[in-house]
Amino acid sequence: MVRLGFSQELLRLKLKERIQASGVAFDDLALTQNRIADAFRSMSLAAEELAVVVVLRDFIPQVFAESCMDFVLGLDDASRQGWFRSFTRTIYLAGNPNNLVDRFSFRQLAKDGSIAWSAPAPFASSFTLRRLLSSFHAKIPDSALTDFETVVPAARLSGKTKILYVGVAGLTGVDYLIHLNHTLSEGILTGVISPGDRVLVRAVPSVNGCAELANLRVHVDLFDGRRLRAYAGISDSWLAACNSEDGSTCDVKNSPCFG
Amino acid sequence: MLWVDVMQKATAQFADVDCLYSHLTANGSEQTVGFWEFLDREVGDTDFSVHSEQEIGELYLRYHSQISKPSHSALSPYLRAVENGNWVHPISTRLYQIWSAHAVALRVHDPGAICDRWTAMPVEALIQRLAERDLCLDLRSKGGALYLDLTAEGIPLRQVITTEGHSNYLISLLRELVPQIQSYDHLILIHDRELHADYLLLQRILMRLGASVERVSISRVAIDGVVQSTRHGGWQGYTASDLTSNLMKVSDLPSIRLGMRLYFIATLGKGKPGSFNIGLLERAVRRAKSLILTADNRDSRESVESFLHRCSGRRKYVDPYKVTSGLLSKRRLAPFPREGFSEWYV
Repeated sequence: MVRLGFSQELLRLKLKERIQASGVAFDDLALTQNRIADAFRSMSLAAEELAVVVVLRDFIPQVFAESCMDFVLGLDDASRQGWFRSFTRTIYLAGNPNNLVDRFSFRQLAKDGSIAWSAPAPFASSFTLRRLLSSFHAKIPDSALTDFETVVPAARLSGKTKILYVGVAGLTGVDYLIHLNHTLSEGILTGVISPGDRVLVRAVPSVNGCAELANLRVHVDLFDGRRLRAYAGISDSWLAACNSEDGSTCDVKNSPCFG
Repeated sequence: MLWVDVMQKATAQFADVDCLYSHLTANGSEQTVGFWEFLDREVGDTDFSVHSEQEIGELYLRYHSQISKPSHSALSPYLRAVENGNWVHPISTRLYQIWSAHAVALRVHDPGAICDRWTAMPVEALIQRLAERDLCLDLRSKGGALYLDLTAEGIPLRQVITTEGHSNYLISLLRELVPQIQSYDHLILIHDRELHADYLLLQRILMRLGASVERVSISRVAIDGVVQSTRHGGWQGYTASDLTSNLMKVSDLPSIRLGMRLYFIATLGKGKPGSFNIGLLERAVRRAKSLILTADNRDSRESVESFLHRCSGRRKYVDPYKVTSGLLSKRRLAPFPREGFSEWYV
């Protein structure tokens, strides 16, 4: 768990932990000296690095979150581990899955058919699909700015509720998808969220100081490349306490970041 | 224009043919309205009705040499005027006037006056029609762009409306062509070879909407070995006015009309032609003159109808290259357009 209020030192530590979890060599000194771009460049990514391609016909955050969780739960162990080691790398393309399913094999389709996910595979293998489609560009939709709840697919509810915070100040629609996707999928891969958990997704300007967050998503600060920024994370501490009595969720308005 | 004119006249011998020259596409493009905006800003009120082709071309070069592009808000009154169809900039009026004079001199269908103006359908009605068949991907409500989508056939997505709401020429063409699908048995798209990918997409979309469509691509003519757009210059001395006035010094108008067709259609062809060669054009004009002079002695056993059918093969149109090279053939004498002009050729 991470304490409230994120110092750069803490963010460096969290980023380092995440990189080490992938087993990738990198320039630790560059990170310590705030040469963040150098630190990212120094990561010697393995040739077998895997990437997922997600094709979107529409941008409905709740549908995306549900589809993302369905996808991750449907992966076998080897794919899960390989993708996690590859930092759950994902390529976002604009396209209509209806027009593609006959020519390409996808691992998972959203229930409304608006999103398709390819299985984790070496980046080069998605060349044809990338040539055919365009990068996904959008703004963050209004529906992302109000809380929405999803459930990690399972036969029955676990009775637990987690809050996934995304700090949206300065983000484009794709940035939002990137942080939501990494945090949700890595949350499942690391067991921070489990089948049957309710997940409340909450957009806030900045996640700094919101709550104690697990699976903190740390990357270069959009506003200043010499800094790190926490973009998203999962909280369960205060809700877990609230849930202990009757298994229901507590009033989210008590959350320090409500609104 | 010579190519289109021959195709239209010859095909019209056995089919009802209409020609669409898309004013919406020509005037609604960013380079045309951008040029207009540039003129009003940089040149101001001027009597453009006395400008020559050369002078207009030089202004166009000046416009393209600008580093910054005009903003969408600066262009919007011009785009609205094109959409309303009630105004064109006086410089374009002047240019159409010059082109009309060339058309009369060369006996070519005048694109500005004779070709039909088809009513364009509203953009949103078009998009709905496309969306019903999964032929577009519309992310505009999410702050994204609109794409034409033929990925089901392996054709890449093509952005046609930007995130700022600017639509490109493919939208204009579809707005004019889609409402016509029911009215015509067959559509033929004639385009620059450089626009192959876009026109292939256009053809496939029209076919998916029920039209029977063929494409004919024609290469631009190279000058000194270089094919380039008007905006880069290099055309000075090669305008239709320049060519015609030079040829008039050595020949007569009927021979020039026929000779231009012989040279641009048969000699250069539609494939990858060599560079423009004034000597070969003059030779074609001389050849035309001798063909006209000997026309009365020409003993062709073939009727015009049979000749034109032979030149269409199994296609729905008469191939201008086959007609023109057929006229030149000594092996099998084709019927000849009397005195250099007739309904079906010049």
